[in-house]
Amino acid sequence: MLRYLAGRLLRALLTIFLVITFAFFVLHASGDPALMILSADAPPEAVKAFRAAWGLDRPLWEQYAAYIFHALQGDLGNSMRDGRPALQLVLERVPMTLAITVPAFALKLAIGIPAGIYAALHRNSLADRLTMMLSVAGFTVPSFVLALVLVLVFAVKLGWLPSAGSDTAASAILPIVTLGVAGAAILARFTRSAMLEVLGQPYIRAASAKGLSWRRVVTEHALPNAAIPTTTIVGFMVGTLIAGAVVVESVFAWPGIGRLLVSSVANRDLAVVQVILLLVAATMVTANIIVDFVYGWIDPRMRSRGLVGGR
Amino acid sequence: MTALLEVSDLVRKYDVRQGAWPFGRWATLHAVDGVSFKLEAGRTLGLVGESGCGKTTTAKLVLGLVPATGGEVRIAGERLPPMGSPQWRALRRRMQMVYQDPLAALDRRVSVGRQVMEPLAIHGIGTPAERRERALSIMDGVGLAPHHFDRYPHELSGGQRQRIVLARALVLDPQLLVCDEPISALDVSIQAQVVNLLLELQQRLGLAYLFISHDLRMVRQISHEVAVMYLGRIVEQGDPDRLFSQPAHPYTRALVSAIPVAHAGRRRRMVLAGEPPNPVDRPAGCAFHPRCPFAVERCRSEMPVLRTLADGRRAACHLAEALPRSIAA
Amino acid sequence: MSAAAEPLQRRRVARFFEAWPPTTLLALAWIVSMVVVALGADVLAPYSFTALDLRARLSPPILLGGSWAHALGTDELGRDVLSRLIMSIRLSFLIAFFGTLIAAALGTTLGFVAAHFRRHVESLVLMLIDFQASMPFLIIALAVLAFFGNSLVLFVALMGLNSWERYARIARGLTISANEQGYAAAVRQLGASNLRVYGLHVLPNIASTLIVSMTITFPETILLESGLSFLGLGVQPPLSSLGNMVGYGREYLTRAPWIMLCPAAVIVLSTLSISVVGDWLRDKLDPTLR
Repeated sequence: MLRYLAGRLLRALLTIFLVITFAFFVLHASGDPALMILSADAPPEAVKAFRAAWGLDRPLWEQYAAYIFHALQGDLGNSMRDGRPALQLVLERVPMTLAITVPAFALKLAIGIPAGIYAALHRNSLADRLTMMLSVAGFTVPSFVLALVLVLVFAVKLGWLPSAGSDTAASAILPIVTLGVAGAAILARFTRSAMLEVLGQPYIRAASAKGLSWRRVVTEHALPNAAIPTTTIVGFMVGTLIAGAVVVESVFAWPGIGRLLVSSVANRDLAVVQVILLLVAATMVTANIIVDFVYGWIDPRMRSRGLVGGR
Repeated sequence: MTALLEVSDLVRKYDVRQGAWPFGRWATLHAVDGVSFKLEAGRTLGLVGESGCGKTTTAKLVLGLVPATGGEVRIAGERLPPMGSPQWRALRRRMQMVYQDPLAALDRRVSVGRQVMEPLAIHGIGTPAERRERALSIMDGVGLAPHHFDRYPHELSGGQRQRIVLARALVLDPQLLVCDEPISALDVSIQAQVVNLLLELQQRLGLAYLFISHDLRMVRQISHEVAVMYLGRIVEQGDPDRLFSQPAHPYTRALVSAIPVAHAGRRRRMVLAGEPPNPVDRPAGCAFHPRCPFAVERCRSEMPVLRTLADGRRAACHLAEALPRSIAA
Repeated sequence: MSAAAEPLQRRRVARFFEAWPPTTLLALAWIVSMVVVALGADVLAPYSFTALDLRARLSPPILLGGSWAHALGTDELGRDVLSRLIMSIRLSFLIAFFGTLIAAALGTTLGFVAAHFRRHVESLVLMLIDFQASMPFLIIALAVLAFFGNSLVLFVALMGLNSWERYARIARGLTISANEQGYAAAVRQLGASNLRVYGLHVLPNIASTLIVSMTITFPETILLESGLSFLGLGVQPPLSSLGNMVGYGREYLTRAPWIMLCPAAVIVLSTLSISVVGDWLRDKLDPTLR
């Protein structure tokens, strides 16, 4: 098991390393930040000085080596805009993003999973059809459209909630609802099909033929088995806690990671974009590892396979 | 005269990793471990053994679908060219394969006629009209009617599908057919029909068969010679009647006694203990010794070689002469 | 006799709607009309999409008391929303269409390559698939777009990179099983070239699964395109796509919500229709895919 864990961590680190490398070369191959930041008609001496200051006049591989070397020591470079460490700049924004993504995540779980289970247990009922219709709508409506419609209704027409900003606690409500509704729809659909699949299995019929009450069949046999595929999608949602709110943050002018990314991208602020990519990759990879271990915990077959794999 | 097919000391190893990447040790699996035999034109060699003993790998090696790790395959005296080379492609006209599951071996989206004509198209033989005519005549030869030409595989019965596979193999006029369990997926009533068809085709066309099966009765009926494989090696080889009535190797003996017979009478059954061992962890000495009721100390340490016995057959057992031959009590 | 004919008639109608459910028919009708709009945009648009009509700025659509001169109203420069919508539909569908096509071609090819060569090549492809699946594509697209600047060609290519891994997974899995025991191995054994094996046998056999996947990735691509354009990082003015129409209309949310609502409705109806048709196609072509 320990070996399996080590192998898993090694692969995770490899993925993160790939992301950093990818980001470095894509971003550096794509134009001269000096010209972008200083504007094209800046005096040549200023451009030269800027390049020298940021090490942009050295060969690319040298810059890459230096970047990796410093990154290993925890130094991920400074923002070219205001000169502060990029990591600090990004980390400052993390709580703001989490302030909307974590409640939204809770909302997704609280609505999506029960709705999916209920729909599966009452297949083809009115409630099932309604749930499915809403869930299809949930992932065909882009989040920015949903966000704007919510603003139109609750901020413009009704005037109940602020349309943007982060001044009051009420400002967080619309972003959270926007994020939560879409996720809940996906989760409901996924949970329903996982449940239906499990309910069609022979062991469920066997369990109810044994004379077990339907309630016990569902809680003791169906739910634990349906939890296995659902874990994957929940895990993916954990992975998007940092990066999943780019569009929504933009609509609501919410000062989180997403808006920082959009503005850094627009300003060609290399170091900040790199740190965000790194952070996103790290979250996704961590979420994947957690999913793997949750699998092992809820599915004994996986657990033994993990042990065999590590032998 | 050189034999149509000559296989000498054929070896196929696979490196397998036991455990998940990047850990686990590499181990070597000997799928086929020093197999030799000859097959003359117009004759049939039956290859029998439990699943996983290397029969199918041997078939693929013979056809050149899998490169050999060691040893060689010669077709009419010439070494088998590597798979995919132009020479290998040209050789397809002389040797063909018949599969266990005809439905899987046929493309379900292509009509029967087009599949039978496909080898001609691949090798650029004839005009479309000639190919059609040739396909129809071959189909007639294997007992398919002209109206089957435009049907699809899933619309036909299992026996008819195997006839399509045969027709597709025969359309190039090969000299050797490698049949990998060609009847085991068919209904019992159909099996006899297909075996009779194979026998008739052999007489009419002078085909040689490498016939792989675990059905000993079918093998006995169709083969001129039989080789018994165990864990990648031939353990006994010889005339089918003698081999099945008086097996020299304990493994053959066990296989034979597992054949259901109508009047079992007081026949002594020899039951094999356990599963065949994992080919990665091949037992030392004779590979069969853990399951062999006659095993002695020598069997555990010294690997027996395949040697010719007094009656002309070959067996790989230290005790071949010492063991009782008769199956009946 | 007419009494007997009537139930027969009704049964035929019932059977027709069983094979072609009404929602599917509606969805198909919507998709067809979108394709017609996209193809005939130049003829159908009543005005040039950049033509200004300063006397009719922020004119509301007919339903809100506007005039027939601008059926869906105008924006703050007096540009006709209907005409802009038609051109946006054309561009968004064009991008999504080529994006999906590129993804399908790239993914299927990589899947074939992985299944054909196995070993290290396959590991490499699998690593790329993992990498793709472990990063939210919107983030990657943002980084690439902003730093490469954005031409339409680059943007379409980027859309094509979005969902290739779905096709690669499908093509790899099905090809491996075909190569190992099935028809592909049999045809190869006959001496067929790789081109014949993959082009004439494997591809037709997995085509239905790939087409069903396209109905999943096409709406995804529309959503991605509109999301990026909404953020101002996708399609750039003077060109207009559904996403940047919404983004632009957002400024006038209070005074002229129709500028934003019209393209938003088109996005939603289009993705919805394609999903509906996709579900129906899946049931028809490939019941194993879920």
